[in-house]
Amino acid sequence: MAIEVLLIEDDSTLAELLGSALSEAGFAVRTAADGAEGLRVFTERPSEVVVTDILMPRMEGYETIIELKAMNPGVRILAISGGGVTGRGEDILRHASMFGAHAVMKKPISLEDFVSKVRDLAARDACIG
Amino acid sequence: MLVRTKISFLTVCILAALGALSLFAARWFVLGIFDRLERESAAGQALRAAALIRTSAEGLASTLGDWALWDDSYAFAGGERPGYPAENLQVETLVNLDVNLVAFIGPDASRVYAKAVDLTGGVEEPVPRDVVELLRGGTCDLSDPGRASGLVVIAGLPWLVAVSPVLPTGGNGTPRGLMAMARRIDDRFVGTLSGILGLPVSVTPEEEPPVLEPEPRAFPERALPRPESGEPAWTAAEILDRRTIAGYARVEGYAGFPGVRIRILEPRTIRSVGIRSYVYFAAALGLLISAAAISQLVLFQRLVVERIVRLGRDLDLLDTRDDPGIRMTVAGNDELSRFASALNAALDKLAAARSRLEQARRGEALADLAGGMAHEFNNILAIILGALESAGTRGRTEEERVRLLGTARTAALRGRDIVDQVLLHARTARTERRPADLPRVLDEALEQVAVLAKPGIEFRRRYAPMPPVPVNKGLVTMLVFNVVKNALDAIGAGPGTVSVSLDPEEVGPGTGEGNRPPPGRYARLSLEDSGRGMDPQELAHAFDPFFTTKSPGRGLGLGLAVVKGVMRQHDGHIDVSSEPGKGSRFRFYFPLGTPGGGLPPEPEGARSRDTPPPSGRLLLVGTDPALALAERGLGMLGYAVHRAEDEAAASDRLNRGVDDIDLVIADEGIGGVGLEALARAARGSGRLRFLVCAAPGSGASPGSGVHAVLAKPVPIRSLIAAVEEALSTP
Repeated sequence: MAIEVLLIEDDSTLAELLGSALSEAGFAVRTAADGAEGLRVFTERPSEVVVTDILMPRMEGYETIIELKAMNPGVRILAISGGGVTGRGEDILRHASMFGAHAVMKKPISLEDFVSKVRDLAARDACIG
Repeated sequence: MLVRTKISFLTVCILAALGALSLFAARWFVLGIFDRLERESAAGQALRAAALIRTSAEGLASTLGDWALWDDSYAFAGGERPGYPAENLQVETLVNLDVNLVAFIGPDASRVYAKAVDLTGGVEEPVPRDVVELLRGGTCDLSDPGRASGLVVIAGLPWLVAVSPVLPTGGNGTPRGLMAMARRIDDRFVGTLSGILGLPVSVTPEEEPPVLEPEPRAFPERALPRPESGEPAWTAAEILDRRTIAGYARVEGYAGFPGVRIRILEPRTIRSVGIRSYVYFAAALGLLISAAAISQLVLFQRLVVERIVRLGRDLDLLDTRDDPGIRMTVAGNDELSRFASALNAALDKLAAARSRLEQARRGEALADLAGGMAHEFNNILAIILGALESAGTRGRTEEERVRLLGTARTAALRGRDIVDQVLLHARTARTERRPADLPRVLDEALEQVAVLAKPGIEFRRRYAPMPPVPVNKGLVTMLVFNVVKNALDAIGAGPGTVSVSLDPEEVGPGTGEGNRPPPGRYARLSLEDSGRGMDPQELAHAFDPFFTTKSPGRGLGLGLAVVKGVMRQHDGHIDVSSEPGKGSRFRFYFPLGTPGGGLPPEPEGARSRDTPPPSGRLLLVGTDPALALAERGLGMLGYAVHRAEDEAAASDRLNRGVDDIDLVIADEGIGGVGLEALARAARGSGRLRFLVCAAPGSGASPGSGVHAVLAKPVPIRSLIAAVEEALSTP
């Protein structure tokens, strides 16, 4: 059975691009446009891997990561961000890992790197968290 | 002179004058009363003596009455009992009766019997003829046979005399002449009087009845016991010396005879009571006035002076510590506190204006940056668009398409690098300047840019010894990066040199050599290249954001516009000289030291990429559920996070001081009063920072204790940024 990935990204073009890359790589992909929707989707049925953007409307990535970890400590999370707004791209991703993201990537990202990162995460032993 | 001294001096003067006036008035008033009492008392004692003399005369008349209305006396007066005197008028009897003289006078005044005794010696003495003559001389008119008594002065001696008609027992019949008794007012009598009054008394006969005139110092009549009929008409008092006062009274003589003047001497005890009272009063008054003066001064000190001093201290603080958050702290609700509030309001406005100015300055730097970036990006987008369009044209071979897409990808990657660089600068683009080891900063920057240098390019460095220079390391790195990158581009492929030198320079006044910085001490950074140089036209536009001398695709990075922004941030100065074919020379003047004095040196590694784990003790106040998530999130980052439901709990925690809270974050849900109390606590502590989470448009605003207001809903990301910002603010 295909490993399921929940992709939370507010930019629909990027979400489509990343989603199709993951599908092509053999993952089952569900998408959500912001953190709140992502949590709802995740509550319906947990995914093994969650890819989440940080800067999003309604609910941002930090909150999403904290809540996801609280719901399911075993979920593996990849945080992606272009930095921006506060101008501290490194800090944004560093904080994401402190909140529980297993891997972080900085936009713009190459699809190849992205898919291999997701593949790494999916291969990790879920028990390690 | 200090206000305090002036007021103290004036207060003491006014109170002393008031005190002296009061003492004078009291002296006049209090001592006056006691003076009057004293005089009244002395005169009263004299009157009592007079009354005693009168009573003695009446007593004499009464004794005489018993004898004159007695059958034996009647018989003797009628010549019937010759043995009467021997039986009844013995010396002892007269002594017992306390009379000096007894006399019988016949109806025709022809026959007189008289006997006199000396009461002191208890022996018979010669009858004083003048007294008997007086009694015979018609004084006792038998045609008006009434009893009479009174005081007479005869031959300079005062006597009490009494006369009565002689009648049988029962009083009915024809009088057989007069019977008289007399008592001399002698030393013994006066001694008795003195004994009764307890005061020395003297009795002085008058030669003639005086003409009675009220003495100037006589007392109002109402103050004296009214003399009964025939009694003394005047009394007076006279102060003899500090210890004694004399009281006078007059006893009128009988039937127009001269009378006597009585004088008593009284010790002035009332006066001494008065003086004591006055001294007590003066002491009490003195104490009262001193207390009034002291309390007045203390009140003035506390209500005015201390608060003005405090205002002054706050203002001094404002002057010495360039902290826009400092406010006047004068409590209460009076003119001073209103003055302080007005001052605070003005300071708020000033701080707001300053913040706007700061933002405007940052905005200018940002505009420079944005201009450079826009220019770069447009170039990159032009490349990408062109390549994509070209690749999409029909008839392209696969090989051509791959090449064109490769070009687009390269341009996109360059765009990513630019964004990275901008973000790096944004990260470090804080305006704080701290004394730094400038050569080291330069070396680090050169190291970064040197990787872009092509082979054959030589870097020459020369740094003169230099004290720490107040700079922003990030901005200086950016400046060096951009200028050197330009230099490398200008040199191009050929061999060339980039010279970096650092020297101290003192610019004196009037060194009017064209483009020179204002007078002062500077660290002069000189960057020279052996590149192609710029013509005057290019030089004039070198710092414009959109201006470039290079062909598309070989951009300036962020350009000289950014360099200009950096120097503006440093209050520095740029001097450029360039000639086509001879290279360019940039000189950057960084002011050495600031009027404010020494800046704290930057902690080693504080601005490095490896930000140390956050440390700070936070207190979240309120019941908003978002705070629970914030508590978890901030806790995960390593902050010590505490919670309090409301302001009371928070204040309690702050006052206990055990947690040593650095930052309070309160939700507006705790109410305006609570927010104000926490803001006050933050203002008071000087160290404690205070953030408020409020819905947009709630009216909450930074200033006066509130470090910043975060618009709800507050994402954790914004909260973290705000916390870091607040904690890093000195």
